[in-house]
Amino acid sequence: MLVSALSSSIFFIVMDQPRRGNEVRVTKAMFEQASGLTLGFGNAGSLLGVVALCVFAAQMAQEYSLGTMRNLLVRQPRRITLLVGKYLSMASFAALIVVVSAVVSVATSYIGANAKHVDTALWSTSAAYHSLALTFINVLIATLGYGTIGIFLGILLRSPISSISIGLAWLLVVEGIMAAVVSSTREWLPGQLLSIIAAGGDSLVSYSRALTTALVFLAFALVASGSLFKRRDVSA
Amino acid sequence: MPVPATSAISVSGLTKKYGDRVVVDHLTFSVPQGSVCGFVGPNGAGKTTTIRMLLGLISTTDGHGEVLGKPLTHPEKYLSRVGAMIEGPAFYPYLSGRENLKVLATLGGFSHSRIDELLDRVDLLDRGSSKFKSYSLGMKQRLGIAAALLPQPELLILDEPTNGLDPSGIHEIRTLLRALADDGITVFVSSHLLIELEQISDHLVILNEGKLLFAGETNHLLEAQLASIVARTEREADLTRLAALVGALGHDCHIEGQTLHVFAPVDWAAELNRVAFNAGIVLAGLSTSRPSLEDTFFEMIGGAA
Repeated sequence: MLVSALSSSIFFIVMDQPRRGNEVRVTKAMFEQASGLTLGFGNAGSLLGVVALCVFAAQMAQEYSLGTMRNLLVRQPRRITLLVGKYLSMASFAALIVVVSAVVSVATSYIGANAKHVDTALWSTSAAYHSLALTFINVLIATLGYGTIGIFLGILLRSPISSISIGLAWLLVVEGIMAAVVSSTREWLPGQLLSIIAAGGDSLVSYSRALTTALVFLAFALVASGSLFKRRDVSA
Repeated sequence: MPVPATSAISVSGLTKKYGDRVVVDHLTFSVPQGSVCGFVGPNGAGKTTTIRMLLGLISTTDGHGEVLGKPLTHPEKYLSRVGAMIEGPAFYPYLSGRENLKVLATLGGFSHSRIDELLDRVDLLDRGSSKFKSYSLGMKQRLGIAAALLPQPELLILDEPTNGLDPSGIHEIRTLLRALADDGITVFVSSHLLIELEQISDHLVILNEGKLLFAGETNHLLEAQLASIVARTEREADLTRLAALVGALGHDCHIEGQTLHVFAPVDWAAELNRVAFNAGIVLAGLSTSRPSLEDTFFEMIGGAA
């Protein structure tokens, strides 16, 4: 909730601020479009994704560090069934946080619009609702994508601290640096692609390109997770 | 090795290697249904690795086996009838004892209606709503046993179930395991408390350095060991003479203080009495003691008692 409120608020704070460097300028006119309702929410996608990565990775890895994995596997020895169940439960949690974020973001947007005297007439049109629905789906895809990476790291590393720290270091720091130095890498880096999906595409990478490439990465992550989980000895 | 028709566990050539390190080396044994089988070995002998292979948690390098008549390669075919506690209790610290059991019951498809009964059985009913992290070691251990009993198992596999329990708790577990076996449940229990295992185990499997040293009935193992017959003569001077007589008859013996210790079958005590009488030696005391499982175990692994 805090992430969404913060993300939406910041956009109103920087609205109509003079352009600096390569920063995207957020204008009042942009907010007064039908899509203005979802500006903050769409850009909260990456932050929600980070939360999802941490939760999914910790949830998975902690089963090993606590030793509870052996209890779970004795009660449900069909490992893929167990993994799918855990994934679905975490995906449900991810969907819930996206729903809550959407509600908070929309509420914050109305509060910010009122404070900044933004005309919200177009926010209650079918185009706005369509934009909200699309943004919700994109943020959900991105959040689940980050979560899937988290599960893969949790199974691979079997330590909450390692899986979260390595995941965040790669996605936030390494990818950030690579994308800043060589912008074309944004077409191939999974974290960058998921952020682009959450925002509905950008000027460098189209939405469809980002979605297709990200799905390939996520398919690999799911297959690798399933394979590792099924075959690996559980000595914890 | 012939496999009894009614074995709860039977393994043949079971092996586990990590690289070049052989942790379990061609184990072959069977555990009869309805028995209490003690699983004994020093630290690092391969007991927990063997148990993990039986439960499908780790793969086997070689060999095969069956649990409750189903192959080890398909744990999903038998684990619903198995209860287990391996290497200490592992639960979610921020859930209560009751909630932890509910998680496992839901996962295994078991009714929640027995949970309070199980908590009561392990004397945790009044603490069932407390968070697991607030439990003492003994309480955690008892919750682990309750979780193992969730599926109303035909086979119970317990790894050091009495860890952290006080003497009354150990006694309760011993009574519980015996009662379960009397109800037809097979109990496969590893423990370092050899005195306890000796009291409850019908069968034993003894490992050392991954290798099988013994698998069979506890009585057979102990009866095969020579007893210690302790004789005290009326006159101390006769001890040496009696020792010489015993030695001439082919039995090992030695003098300790004012007693003669003879290593022979228990029923040789009567013969010793006769030998002493015929030699004009009056015995002031004659007793027998069979080696304990602990003595036998240490003798088998070559360690000091």
